[in-house]
Amino acid sequence: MINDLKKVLSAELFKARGRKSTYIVPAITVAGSIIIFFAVSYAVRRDWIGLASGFYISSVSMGWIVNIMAFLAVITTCFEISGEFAMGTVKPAWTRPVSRRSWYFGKLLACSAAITVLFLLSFIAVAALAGMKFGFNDLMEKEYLVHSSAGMWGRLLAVALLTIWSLWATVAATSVFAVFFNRPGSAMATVMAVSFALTLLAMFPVARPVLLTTCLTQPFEQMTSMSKGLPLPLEWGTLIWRTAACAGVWIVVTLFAGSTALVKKEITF
Amino acid sequence: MADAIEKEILGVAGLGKRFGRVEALRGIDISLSRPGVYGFLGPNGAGKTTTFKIIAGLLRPTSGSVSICGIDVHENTREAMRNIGILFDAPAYYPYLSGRDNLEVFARWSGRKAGDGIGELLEKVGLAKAGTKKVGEYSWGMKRRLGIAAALLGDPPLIIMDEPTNGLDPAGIAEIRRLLPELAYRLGRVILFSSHRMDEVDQVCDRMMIIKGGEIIASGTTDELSRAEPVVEIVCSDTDRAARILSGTSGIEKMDRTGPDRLRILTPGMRAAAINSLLIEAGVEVRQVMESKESLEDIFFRLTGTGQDDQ
Repeated sequence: MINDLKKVLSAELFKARGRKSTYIVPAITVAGSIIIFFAVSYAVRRDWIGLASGFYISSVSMGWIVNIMAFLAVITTCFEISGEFAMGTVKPAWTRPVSRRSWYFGKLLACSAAITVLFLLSFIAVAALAGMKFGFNDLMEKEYLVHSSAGMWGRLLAVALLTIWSLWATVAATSVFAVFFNRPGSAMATVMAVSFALTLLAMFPVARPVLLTTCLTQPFEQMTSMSKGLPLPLEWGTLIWRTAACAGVWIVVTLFAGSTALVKKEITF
Repeated sequence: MADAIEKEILGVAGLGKRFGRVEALRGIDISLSRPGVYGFLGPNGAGKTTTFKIIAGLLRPTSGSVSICGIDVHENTREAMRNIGILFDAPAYYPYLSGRDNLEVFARWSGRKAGDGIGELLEKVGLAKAGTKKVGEYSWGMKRRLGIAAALLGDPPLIIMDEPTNGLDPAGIAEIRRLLPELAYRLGRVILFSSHRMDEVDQVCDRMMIIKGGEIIASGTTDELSRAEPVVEIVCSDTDRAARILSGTSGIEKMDRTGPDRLRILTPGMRAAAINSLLIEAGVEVRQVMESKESLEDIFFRLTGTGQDDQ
């Protein structure tokens, strides 16, 4: 299995080298993140929202960027899996000495790695700009220390890690649909429809904690509240274990469903 | 060495496949052990590609089994795939990569070293110069050549080719006709290939299997499959009249006009001399009468009951 994964990852890396999107998408992502940062900064300067702190602006910007990242995760996964069916390149792939499960897990690892790199590029760009323009200072209320800079840095990094974990869950969940459809467009449309349905479900408080959309958005929402000195929606411990467990369950269940469907899939085209 | 030659390279036993209510394959049996070129013929929709896809592990059989070098394809696909190279009817590649890089990707999936033998393969299929060009810029013929190179990657003992010469120019076809026997007899490979070109199959295949309606209805060499009775070909002044006269005669099974002054007659009941006498007595000027063996095309149409239009 490990050897097969190495083979698939090596092939994916080699393919990525030859694709223009490998260079264009990160550039657009960083540019988009910078635009979002300046939009949030502008709103803060005009006193429309929040306060002029590096932590606050990073949290709000990243909260927006996470939605774009989730969308990129869906697109990347659909093109990586359904795209192989659409092009027909799955036929030469599956007639090589690599198991279908390894091919699938290798693809998901590649997608997860790509989305992690994109997220980190955005995060670094936003944090660097926020640090340069506003600084990462302690949050003070008059003489009283609300949150120390070190404490907020720890939470910000934890939130970033939780979001990356949730983005991996998004990749895994998308892959289930990508396995079923032979066209990336059909897979993406279905994922969007399901996401919309899940968003509607979020209106019900009972359903909210188990939704993937909650795993994706809640960590930076919590960080935004913290950086503004507001009461936290959840205890940090609760948020961390709940998000980690929820995304983890999504990953395990969808990986099982996706890999089982892939092993049973027949190539009739 | 003798053991290696006798080892079954491809074993297909009682293969059946249903798509809903449609029974695409029924009890297909194939056993190939000796190096050689084996033809797989059948009309469109007969089940050739379905059989190939099951052998390649892309479809699961409803019944029966497939083994490659003794390894069951559907129980241990990964290991079985070490021993097979396949050219599909419509080979697919990554258009943004060059031909060489596409082969590199395939080689990496197989766990081979980077660049391992790829240059030689490209040279073998006549793509040495075009290897660095992006596949998106390749012609159909170049893509097929690249597909052949991909099938040969890793020197598998079994090579399956679904219409390898389809879309190739005459030079490409000649090259493939030269390559297949070389692979089979010099390098000891077993090659199973399908083609719509009977002359091609006749020229390069040792044995052939004819499939119709999901069943293999005949297999053997051209000599084994052809009938003892000859085919009579006549060259005469008035083929319309000759055809009218002969069509009223018992013992004529099939008659085709093969040229403006030529008729080809399948007649188990009459010999050339009798046909000649019949036409001369009726006042038709007969310029030439020839007896020949049944061609593979005749065999194919006789066995499958299809006309050339069905092809």
